[in-house]
Amino acid sequence: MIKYPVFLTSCCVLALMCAVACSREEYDISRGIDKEITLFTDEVSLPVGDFGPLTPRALLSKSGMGDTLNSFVKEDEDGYLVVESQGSCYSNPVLLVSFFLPDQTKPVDLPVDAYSGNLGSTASSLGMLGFSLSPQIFSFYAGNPLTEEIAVSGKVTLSSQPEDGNPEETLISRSFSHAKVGAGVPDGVIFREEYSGDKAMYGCRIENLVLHLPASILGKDPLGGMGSFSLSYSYKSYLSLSRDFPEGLQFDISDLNIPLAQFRVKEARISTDVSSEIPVTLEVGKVEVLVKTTGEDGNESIVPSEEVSVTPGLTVASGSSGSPTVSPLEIVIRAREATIPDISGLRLSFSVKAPTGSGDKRLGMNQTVFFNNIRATVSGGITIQNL
Amino acid sequence: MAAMVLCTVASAQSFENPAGYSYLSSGFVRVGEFSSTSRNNVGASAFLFPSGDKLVTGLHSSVTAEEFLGGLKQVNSMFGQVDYNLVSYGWKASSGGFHTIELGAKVNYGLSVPKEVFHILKSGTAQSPYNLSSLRAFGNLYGEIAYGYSFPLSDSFSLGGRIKLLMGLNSVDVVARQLALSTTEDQYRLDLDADIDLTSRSKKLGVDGSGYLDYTSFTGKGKLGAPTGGGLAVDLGLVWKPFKGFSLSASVLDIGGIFWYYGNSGTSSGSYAFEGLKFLGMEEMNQDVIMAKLRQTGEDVLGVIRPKAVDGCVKFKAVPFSANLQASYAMPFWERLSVDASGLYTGYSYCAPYWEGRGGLSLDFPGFAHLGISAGSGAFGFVYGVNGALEFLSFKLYASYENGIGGVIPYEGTPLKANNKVMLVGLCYLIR
Repeated sequence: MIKYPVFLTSCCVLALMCAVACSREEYDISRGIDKEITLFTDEVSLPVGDFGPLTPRALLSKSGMGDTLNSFVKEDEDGYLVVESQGSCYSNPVLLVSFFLPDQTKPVDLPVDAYSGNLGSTASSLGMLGFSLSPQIFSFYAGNPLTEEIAVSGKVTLSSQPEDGNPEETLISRSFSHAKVGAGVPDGVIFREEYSGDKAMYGCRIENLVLHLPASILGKDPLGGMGSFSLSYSYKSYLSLSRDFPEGLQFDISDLNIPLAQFRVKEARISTDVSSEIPVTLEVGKVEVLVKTTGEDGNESIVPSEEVSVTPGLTVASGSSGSPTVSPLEIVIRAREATIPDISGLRLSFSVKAPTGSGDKRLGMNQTVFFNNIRATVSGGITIQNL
Repeated sequence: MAAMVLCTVASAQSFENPAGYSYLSSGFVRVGEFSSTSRNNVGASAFLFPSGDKLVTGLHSSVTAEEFLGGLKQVNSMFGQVDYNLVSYGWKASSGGFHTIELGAKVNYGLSVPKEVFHILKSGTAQSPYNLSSLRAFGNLYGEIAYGYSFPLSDSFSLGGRIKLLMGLNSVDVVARQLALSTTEDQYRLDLDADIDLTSRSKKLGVDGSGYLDYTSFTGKGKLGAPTGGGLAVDLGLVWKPFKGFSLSASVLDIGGIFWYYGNSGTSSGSYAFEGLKFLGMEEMNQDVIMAKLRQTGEDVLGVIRPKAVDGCVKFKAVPFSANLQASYAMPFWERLSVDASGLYTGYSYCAPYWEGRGGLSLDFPGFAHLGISAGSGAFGFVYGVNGALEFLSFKLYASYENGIGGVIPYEGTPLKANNKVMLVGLCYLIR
């Protein structure tokens, strides 16, 4: 009666024991599973850091434009960009002056020939390019090799360059009388004038010059006869941008070589706070992503990608030395349809505008730009294949 | 009768009710019983998804965040335990009670991962801050020497108990009291306060010059297997047979724990804030400098994560305990066929607790064979099990297998690894 159930039960028990004894993992999880993963599908943000300082000097040096700039403008000891010129109006050895004096035992007023010249064309050329020359500083010097004081009198007239049929305009006209020059001073400042107007100084006329000499100039110091009386001038002008650049500029950031394609990123946003001392407003109107393409001839070229749109929100406000202006900055790189390709570089199209507001607007090579608190946010995920 | 004790229940988890031995008519010797338990509260099907004609992970772009994260628990735990009974000996006392002596070893391990970890990986960092404090890992190896006694209070009711001397052999425990991560675009911040405890009776980890545990150096003479902890645990049970054909069995097992001496203890404590790479200028914009700064950042993070050595300490760790309830009713029309019901609750320290209830059928042919099947539902979903025994002469070979449902790969039909699995196999010699 129970033989059949017993037999059946025995078979089942044996089968169970065999199953247990031969048990294996149900599924080899490494087999047949697509290992591609996409992380951070909403968005992931990462603090990238700070970058800087960038200075015009470093940028120009890196771009190789520094030498070109140095050919027509200079830096002063503080790094400001300046236009300078110097000239000599008069130089005569004491011995020769003394020889022609009618009576060396008395003080004498020695007239000097007037001087006319120009301060150079660089400044006025820069002015026409949209740079303002402010302030412009004209200095007049006298050299006195004697062991006692002398004095100088005269008149300086500085004028603008005639242009477009308009005559020159007198910018500064100053007279000075019996300005003292200390004993043994090689370049005593007789006259210093700072001009902050719009016009560039060009013409220079120094007239009615008289050297007021003491008596017995060689009797008291025979060796002083080896030196010379001298009259000279210097001109220095700081540069600042007074007008917007009429033409937009283009700047390529090449050799980036960011291999983004493999990560299938759809959108990336980079934000930062730009702290700028440079007294120039930069407005980036367009940013293009540069990608490598291979033409039909097999040659590689780097061209702007049409698959990616970039939304720049870039206006770097002007600052000044010691008083940087902070501008929030954001750039969004978004794939139009698929994903962002490998990025070879960026092409920035920007305009340069005159600084706004008050404050020191002098351009300097040591003025800094900091990119603080750089943040990167990737939206839509980062794909890693074959993890 | 031995089969009634050793192999009549629906669940392989509960065969150890000490009260059940009181119904044995003679002694037994059991050798080499092996039991393996593997559970996790999510299962592979929470991580694998069909996509077209292939299978992808939950991190694949074709799987939405809701699909993937919705299948995970707040704390995702896995637990495993292996019991090895080296030898057991039981004999009938003249008083009618039953004595047992058992010698065995257990190893258990567990890992808990908070859902936030997967949330960050899947969705990103927008929902900062994250509390990752439930991250934990542990493993214990200990031996058991047990003495049990069961005795019938009447023909229908018996009680039993077992006391176990636990000898800790090795233990590792990593606990994060605080693990907080905030991920804003301005700053990533990690606040950590965690302990790592590792027993060291055989070897002691070295300490480097800065006071950090050095996992590459050891000191001390090897004393492999020397106890590093000691403790006690008890099992209690009862069997009640109020009327013919019906039995009710209840037990609580492994109430107790071990005082471990952790000679290698370390604490990771501190905060680290990453605000990006600083002081990058024109000169520093090259790969070597950037990589050097990234390495330094990594070392700074390690400075927080790496455990600093602290004095060894004694800590009490409870062993995983379980509570069991079974009922069996032999059919009046054919008493070899029984209807079974059982319930189980298992508590793991820091891991998700496990419970289940199931019903089953069993066929019992004393002196020859036993077969039982069961099915039910538990904390991790559907479960099923089969158990059986064969008796030949005085030898009884018994085994059971339980599992859950882990899902099926769509295009292959291959089952995925289930949420929980228990295997048992053993051999018993019945002393006639």
